Amino acid sequence: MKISLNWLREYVDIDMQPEELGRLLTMSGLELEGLEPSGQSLGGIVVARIISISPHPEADRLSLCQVDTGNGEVQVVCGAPNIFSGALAPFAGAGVSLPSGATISDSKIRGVRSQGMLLAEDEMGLTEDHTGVMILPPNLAPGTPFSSMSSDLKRFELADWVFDLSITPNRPDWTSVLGVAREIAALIGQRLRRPEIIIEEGGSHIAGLASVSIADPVGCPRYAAGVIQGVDIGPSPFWMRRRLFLSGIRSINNIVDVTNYVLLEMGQPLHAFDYNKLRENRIIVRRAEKGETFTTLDGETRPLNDESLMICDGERPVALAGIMGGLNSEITPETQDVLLESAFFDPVTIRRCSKRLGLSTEASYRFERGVDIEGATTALKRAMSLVYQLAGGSIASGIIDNYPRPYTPPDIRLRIDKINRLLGTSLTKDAVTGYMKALEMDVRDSGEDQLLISPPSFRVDITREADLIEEVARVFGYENIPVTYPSIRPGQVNDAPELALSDQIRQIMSGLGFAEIITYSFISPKSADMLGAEEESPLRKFVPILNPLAIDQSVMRTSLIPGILNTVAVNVAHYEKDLKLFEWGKVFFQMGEDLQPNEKLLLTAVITGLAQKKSWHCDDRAVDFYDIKGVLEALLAALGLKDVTFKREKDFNSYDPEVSAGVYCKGSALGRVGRVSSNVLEAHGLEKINAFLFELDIAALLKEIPETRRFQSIARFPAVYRDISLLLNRNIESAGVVDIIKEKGSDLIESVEIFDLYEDIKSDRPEKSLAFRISYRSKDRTLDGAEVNSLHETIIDEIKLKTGGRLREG
Amino acid sequence: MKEQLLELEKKALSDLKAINDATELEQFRVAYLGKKGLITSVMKRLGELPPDERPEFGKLANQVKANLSRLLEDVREDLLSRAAGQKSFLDVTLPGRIPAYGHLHPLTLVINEVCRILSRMGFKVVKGPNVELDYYNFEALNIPRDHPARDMQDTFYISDNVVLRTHTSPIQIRVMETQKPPVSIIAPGKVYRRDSDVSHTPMFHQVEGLLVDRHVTFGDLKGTLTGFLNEMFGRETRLRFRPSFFPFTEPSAEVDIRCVICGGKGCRTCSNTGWLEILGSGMVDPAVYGFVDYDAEVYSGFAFGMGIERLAMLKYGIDDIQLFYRNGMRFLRQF
Ligand SMILES: [Zn+2]
Repeated sequence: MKISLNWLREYVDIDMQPEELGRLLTMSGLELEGLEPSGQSLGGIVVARIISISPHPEADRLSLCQVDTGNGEVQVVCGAPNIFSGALAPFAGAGVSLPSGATISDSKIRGVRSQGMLLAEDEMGLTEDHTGVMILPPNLAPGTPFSSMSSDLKRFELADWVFDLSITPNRPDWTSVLGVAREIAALIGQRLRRPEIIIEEGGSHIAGLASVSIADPVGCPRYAAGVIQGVDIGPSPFWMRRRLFLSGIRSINNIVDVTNYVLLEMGQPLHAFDYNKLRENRIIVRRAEKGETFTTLDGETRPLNDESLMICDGERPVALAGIMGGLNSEITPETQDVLLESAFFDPVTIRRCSKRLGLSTEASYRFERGVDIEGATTALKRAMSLVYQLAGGSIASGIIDNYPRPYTPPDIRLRIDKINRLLGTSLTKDAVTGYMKALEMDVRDSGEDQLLISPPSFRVDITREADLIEEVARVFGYENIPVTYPSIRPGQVNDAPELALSDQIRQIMSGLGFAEIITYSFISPKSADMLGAEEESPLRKFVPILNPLAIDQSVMRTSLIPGILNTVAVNVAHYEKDLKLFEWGKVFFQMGEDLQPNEKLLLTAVITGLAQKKSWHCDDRAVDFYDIKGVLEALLAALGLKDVTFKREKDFNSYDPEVSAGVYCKGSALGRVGRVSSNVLEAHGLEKINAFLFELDIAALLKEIPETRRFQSIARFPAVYRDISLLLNRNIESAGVVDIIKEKGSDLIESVEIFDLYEDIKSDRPEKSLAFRISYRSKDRTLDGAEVNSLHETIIDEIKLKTGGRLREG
Repeated sequence: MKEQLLELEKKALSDLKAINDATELEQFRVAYLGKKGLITSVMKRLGELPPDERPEFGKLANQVKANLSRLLEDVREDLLSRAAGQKSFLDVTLPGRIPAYGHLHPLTLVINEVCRILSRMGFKVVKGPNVELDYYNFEALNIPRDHPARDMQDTFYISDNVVLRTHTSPIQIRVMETQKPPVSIIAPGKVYRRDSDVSHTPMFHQVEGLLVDRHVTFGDLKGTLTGFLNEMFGRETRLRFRPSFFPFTEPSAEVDIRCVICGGKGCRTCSNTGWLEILGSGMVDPAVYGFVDYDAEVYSGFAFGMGIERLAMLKYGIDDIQLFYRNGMRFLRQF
């Protein structure tokens, strides 16, 4: 909320710099978000008198003015419609800079010399008015610096500061100038001055003019109204327009401006009806009927339902209660008689209606937070006195105040001990009593250690002891509460099970040369197509977001691949083609409408481009399947997994069916590894890139990681090595041969290494040669050569038998 | 003849071992493997053998020759490298064979640091769902459906009752619902708000903290957070606690640190206030205890939450929040 410092000063004496005041407010919970000077760079602008006006020879809309600047006479070309000879107006001569930054020069306008400029209010940043030059009061001397007028004519108050305050939703009483002034008064120990209300009732009695009935006392607990007849509708005076401007409210006319002014001043939203448009001169507050529509002031026709609270006359709705008035009863230049409304509407009712219509106004903002129900008639009277002051007319005697169940303040018990136990302070009852009184609370003694507190009606946020303790802390000052260090007792809660693993995996992956990325959890619904997912694929079990920011962020991801490939694309665009990336994150699968999805943790890694770049010691080498597989094997080994197997797999979405495999541990699936299929790469704009991926399911992985590692005693007996060089059919997998070796050799096989692979692609024989080195070792004895040789022979025979392979000659 | 050949090989091997320099090596090569060398001359006598023995002898001779050639090359290399150790120039400025090393995301680094500091104090690290029930994200945190406090956070909805969590606070409820005090937890994680501009991303990270036990005071809150921020930003970091509003804490406090960029003089980062908002915190509101069935007369506690992106930006001097989610290598490589 934006508030003028000069306006605040009307209610409380403030003797400090604006920055200091800002700090004070921030430290009391009213956070200063911005502080802007206004009307402070008007140096060089002087009061000038228009001596004579003649038409511009070349332009119908322009006039030539002879102007007395107090420092000689000058000629000025002016286009304003409101000038007259003898008028006083602000003048900027050549060389003067305006707040907008523009500098005035002695120039020619349509061929005629213009030695300066007569200024409109907006050109000086004072209001948004640009209907004509600013006409000043007649008793000023030409040449008087314009900026010094504020002291002469108090209400001009040109030099000002605008405080932009962030108001938390619990403090509706701060949504007004008076509310903020009240806080300042309490903080600096000054008295609060209240706005002047002078009512000269001269008209007929209100009872004969209007009536109010409330059909929905829940939605509208209080409705007050007053009538002023015979008003003159016109523009508001400068001081009012300026204050509205500084608070960001547009000036409309004197009546509407008064309602907005009082709203800002006292926090009570008001509405002005054209009295003569209210049929039967009645006000009825009721719920709308289903199917009813209503055209609000802004010209929009809005559908209503039985949740909409309406202000109606004898026949039809005339206002959307607490939100916006109707076009059918608005104040127009022809309006003669005005009915002013000052009501209290139920916060929830107003909020629901405002949300449903997507219509939020200064009024609804305050009603949904809660205005001061007791303040309704004071604000009404204040508005009536201002209307009378600005637009004349006669005030009907008396007001209507339909208030069936008057407010009774709550009595809240406040225990001094409870305060001190919660805050860690040692405040006395006297001190607490003082703080409460400073906040206009009613304080009664209620036994040895406690007080009975009744908050003022504008403090709608205070209903419980906790709310009072907060106020005590605030007034005592957070900075005065002593710092202590709790001794934290261990509870039943343990660290999340995947926590250690997530640390470990991140460390291993970065150690293996991978950079961690973090991408958005929401992706495009097209991503499933882009990954080549079939109809039934879980990749299509999207959780859609009802109100996404963009279509490509409109569903929760079911795979980390889109994010990782998009990241590859971003980097490739910056000539970073040799990438090793991984992401640890969740994917989400739809479990049914209105239900939480299944959230699954995945680790996904990608490598692209070159595995090795040409350097003084090596040549370029492109990444291939065995690079990514190797990383995965290293990771799983480092995590302590044993019995990891890979199985060829042709049906994985996103993967090249010829170059992909499933990863298993003791039979349970852990994830996938392989080349990203060309279609998928192309869909991500990566047709020129070769990319290899793996994905791991963290929950599955977690089950396979040994909880503790058991030490195996280190073998004391020597190993014996034997090699086998085989010619095998191309399609025979090495793991099958290793399995045969291990099965046949059982616990004498320490390890099997594959040390050579040769495949002549051009050869017409579908063969490859594979060489294995077997390490034989026994835990309990030294193996003798003969025993190993005979075992080795059996193994070779078994391999030949099962694979159809043969030993390679020479 | 076969015996002769094998004898020759034996001699050659022992000669080879005695070689000390390149000259001797060349003499050896000429003597054995040269055009008129010993091996060659034996091989030339192939024709003297009966035809059926020739293939076998040929094969053997070739093997011997190949073997000697290979060993000769080994010795040559050996001599060269020995020579290098003595004479040739080692360029220590040539880049080594650098094994690939990777990078953790700066947000991970900051989350890790935050968790490490708080874990040491005794907080346990817990996790919760990203897609959360309205009840946990709002209702049980004392943010009723029709309350203006809902406007404090722009929410992504999955359905009427399911939202993308707007903060990590729902974890407080999930933990308290199942565990009796004492409870001391922190919860790092992703959160989502319908907000995207120069200084906001629709997804970001928070760490939540909660301590509930007997006799926990606002002073303890100040102490814990002071200790934490001093570890995070240095012992000299000045901080201030100021009143604010969060529906699930009362009293609520915003915690600011002295601007780490300008040291308090005022700059763009701190909007000329000299202070940086770093944490939201407060004493757990009794209304929240009502939802989890804790006795507010027996237990008290505090909660706090912080935005990780902001911490990371301050810590590393990053001026654009979007960089975290663009994942460019030129960014990631710096961490
Ligand atoms: Zn700064």
